[in-house]
Amino acid sequence: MFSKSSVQKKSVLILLCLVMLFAVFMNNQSSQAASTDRSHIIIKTTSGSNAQFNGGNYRAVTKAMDSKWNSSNSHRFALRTMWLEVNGKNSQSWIENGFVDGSLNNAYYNGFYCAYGYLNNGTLTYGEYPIIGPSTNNDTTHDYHITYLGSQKYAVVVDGTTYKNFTGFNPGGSYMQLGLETNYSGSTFATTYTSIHKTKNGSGVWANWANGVTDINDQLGTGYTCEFTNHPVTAKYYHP
Amino acid sequence: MMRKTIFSLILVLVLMMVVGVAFAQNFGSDLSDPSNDEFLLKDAPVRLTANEHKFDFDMNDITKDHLLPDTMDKASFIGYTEQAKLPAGAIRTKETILTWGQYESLQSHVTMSSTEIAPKRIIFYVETEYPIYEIKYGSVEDATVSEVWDYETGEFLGFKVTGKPTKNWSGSPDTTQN
Repeated sequence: MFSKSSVQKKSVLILLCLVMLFAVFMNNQSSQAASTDRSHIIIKTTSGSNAQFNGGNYRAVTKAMDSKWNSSNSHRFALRTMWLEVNGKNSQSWIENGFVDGSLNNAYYNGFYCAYGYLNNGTLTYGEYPIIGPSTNNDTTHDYHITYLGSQKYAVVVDGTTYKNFTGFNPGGSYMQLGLETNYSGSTFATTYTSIHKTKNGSGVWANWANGVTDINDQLGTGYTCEFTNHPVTAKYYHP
Repeated sequence: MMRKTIFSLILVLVLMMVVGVAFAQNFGSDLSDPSNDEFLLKDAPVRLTANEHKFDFDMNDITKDHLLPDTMDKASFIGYTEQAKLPAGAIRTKETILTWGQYESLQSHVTMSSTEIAPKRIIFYVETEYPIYEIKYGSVEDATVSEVWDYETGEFLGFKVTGKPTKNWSGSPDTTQN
């Protein structure tokens, strides 16, 4: 029915197809590996040229967030946090204080966390730490602070309790940011609000944000957005 | 006839390889490491107060690597990766028992200290060198990663990575904008 050469050609064709399918599959797998693409749905305030921030504060009610973390996608995270620049303006040094679902060093974690990062002569140091103590239940209200204590020491505070100190950072930063971030387009966040947005100036005085803008960079296409509901001290983060 | 048989055999072999690799990619990690999947920090545990009295370790000499107890079950440490399962090129350089206070004193430049973990709390300290390591802000080359767990509960207490950020790295969102 089939000649030898016909069978051989068909076999080679099938083999080629299988190899191509395999290559596509492997490429798909590698593309699911850690990616640096991420979306952030945030608000931010900046200090004036003659001012600096020595602390930041906000209040948030914990709402459901789901990073869709699983052991095959152990890099996924979804978080709501504050980023405060430290160690002087434009220092590329910062501290975070917030709540995360998903990857904490690629293991699953759901709860409060803090992180810090800085560049020193081209070398990056970055650390993440769970904060364990405050209730992680949804619909519980929490106050988050990062504040300069003096002697190059910053405190990470939740509900008035200091959990971590970072020593070695000079005072002063030019920005405070607040909002959602994820590295997976399928992450979900229940509608949430932040309020009591405050910064501490170089004299140690806390005051409401003097200015604030939304900064939405949804490169993953999560569809989430944010807006001020009482500019600049209350904001809403949601999926329209 | 002979050639047809050979081609058929090759075809079957390739099919088996494709199915095998696909299966391993999709399900292998789930089957081989169930501890990864099951972990959930539920309600906050009791504070990690000093527990050195429970263990027969000499914690006085910080310069000495403390031997790991034979009874130590590393699988109980949340997110721990044993040396044999590290990615290609990664090298485990240290695994030791420390107190939290000793761990804090190992840091340099910027140091992190915790008010929720007693200085004499026993921890499991692991250090690994990675050619490249992924954090949420991108890749870090020639990375030294230190990880710590509570020795008693297996709870993950944090990690720190130091290395050279690659081109795809960006810091906090503000850094991304600039």
